[in-house]
Amino acid sequence: MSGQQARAGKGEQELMRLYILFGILFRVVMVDLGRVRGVPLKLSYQAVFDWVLLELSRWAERQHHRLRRLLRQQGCVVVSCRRQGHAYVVHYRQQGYLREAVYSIEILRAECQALVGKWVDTISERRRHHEGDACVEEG
Amino acid sequence: MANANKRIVFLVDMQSFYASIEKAANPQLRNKPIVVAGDPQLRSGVVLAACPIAKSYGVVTAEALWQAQQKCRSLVVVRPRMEMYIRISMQITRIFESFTDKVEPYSIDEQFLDVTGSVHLFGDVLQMAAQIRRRVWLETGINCRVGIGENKVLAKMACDSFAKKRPEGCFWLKRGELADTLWKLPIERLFGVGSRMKRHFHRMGVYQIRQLAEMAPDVLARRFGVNGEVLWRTAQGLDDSPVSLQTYDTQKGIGHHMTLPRDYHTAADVKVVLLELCEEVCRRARSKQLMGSVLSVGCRGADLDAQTGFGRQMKLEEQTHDALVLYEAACCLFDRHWQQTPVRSIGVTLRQLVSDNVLQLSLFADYQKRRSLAQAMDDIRTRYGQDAILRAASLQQSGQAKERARKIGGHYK
Repeated sequence: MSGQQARAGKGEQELMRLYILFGILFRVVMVDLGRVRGVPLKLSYQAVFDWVLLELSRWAERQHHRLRRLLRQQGCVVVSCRRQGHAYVVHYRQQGYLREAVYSIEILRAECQALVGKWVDTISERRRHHEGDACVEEG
Repeated sequence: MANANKRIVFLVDMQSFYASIEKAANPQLRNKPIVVAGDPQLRSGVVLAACPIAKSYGVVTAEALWQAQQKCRSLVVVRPRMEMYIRISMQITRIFESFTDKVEPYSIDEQFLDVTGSVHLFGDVLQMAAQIRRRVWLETGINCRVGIGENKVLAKMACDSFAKKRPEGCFWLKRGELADTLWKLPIERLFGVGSRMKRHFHRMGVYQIRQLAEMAPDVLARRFGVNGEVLWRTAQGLDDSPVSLQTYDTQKGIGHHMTLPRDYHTAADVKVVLLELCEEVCRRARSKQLMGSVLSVGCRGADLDAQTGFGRQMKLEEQTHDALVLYEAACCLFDRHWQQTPVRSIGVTLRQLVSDNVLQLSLFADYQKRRSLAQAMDDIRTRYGQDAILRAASLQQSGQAKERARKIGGHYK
């Protein structure tokens, strides 16, 4: 790999990391939704959980696919993803070179948690904007 | 293109390794000053790692936790998780192995890489260093610094004295430029010079690395022996040692040391720990198929100022990896040299190691039976954990084996 290719690959590693994170997140949220549905509670919050978690999962999936398109534009295709002990190993092909990324499971979990926090912030921000707009209209 | 005669060696050092892992694994800690520290109640309350925010308050590694808490009231203390740190260190080694096949772990958070043969695949030297830093950051969340040199010593000093102090986290220490870089530094910044050596050099009027480099190596060899010449070579940036995993293959001794949770006052209490240490030393010797013929026992007193304690060794009648034989000899050394003062820490080391496939048979002792028994105990421990089978003595209040089974290197798993 030449220096130019190295520079080109600079962004792809970050995109790959986000792509993996969003891919894990949207699947994990669906698994958790299934678990939440099975928990016996005094009242049924199914509609609330369904709305929140499905919305989160959809958002993560949309980001996942957007990143996949971006990676493809850079000539980058994921070949395999698998868990090896405490690591999550990703093999991807970039412009003919087979590359490897090794992520720690604990760190991926923490990063997914951070993405959930980011999504909650985005939703709250959007809600505040809507409320602000409604107040202006009423005024 | 690298000069054919010159190697390119990287030393990659992880910034606040334990603390960085904890921050990466817990997003809520990211903007807080944190330290990884043991339990002060059990005398392991020292700071193992402090994050850069904690360091900005003056917290330093290896100081007592209470001192760190006095410096920074909002300090978050995290218990160490050694298994996780070892796992991430191995993961980082795997990342490095995708850059070069010559990777030598120097410690849990420092690794040497010889990239002479692969640097052209990754652009130039500095681009390769930047790629390594980026990959480690993206895949583990740890910021690392890269020292570059034509040998291990230069790479190490490039990292410690320059790369760590630069925002780009990378420095190339070239031999031809030592006069303008390394030689300007005070003598204590030279790799291998500690506080005592610094005092020796100051007494000789040597305050700067330049002065040492300009001295005749014979003078240093006469004054400090082999170590003097090694230091002169280090100052000159000379080191021929290869980056190789085989560096640590020739093991000279197997030892274990333990700081006790409280001062032990009686020989009976200390001997329980001695037996446990002998058991661990022999288990490791057996796992490596080695026996030793020299035993050393080190014991440090509770009063650190008075320098109480001893460190003595003895030649055994024949080489062994039998815990009871070693224990008898250790007790003999302890009884002979212990001066009835409180004991704070104790260690046992087996030296002069030889392969255990040659054994002098005895007419009077059944070695085979003892070997089989030890092997059975090792198998049980390997399969079910270190505390799956213990000697009855370890169940006494002074016994530490059960607690120690939950730790790696004296810190919790």
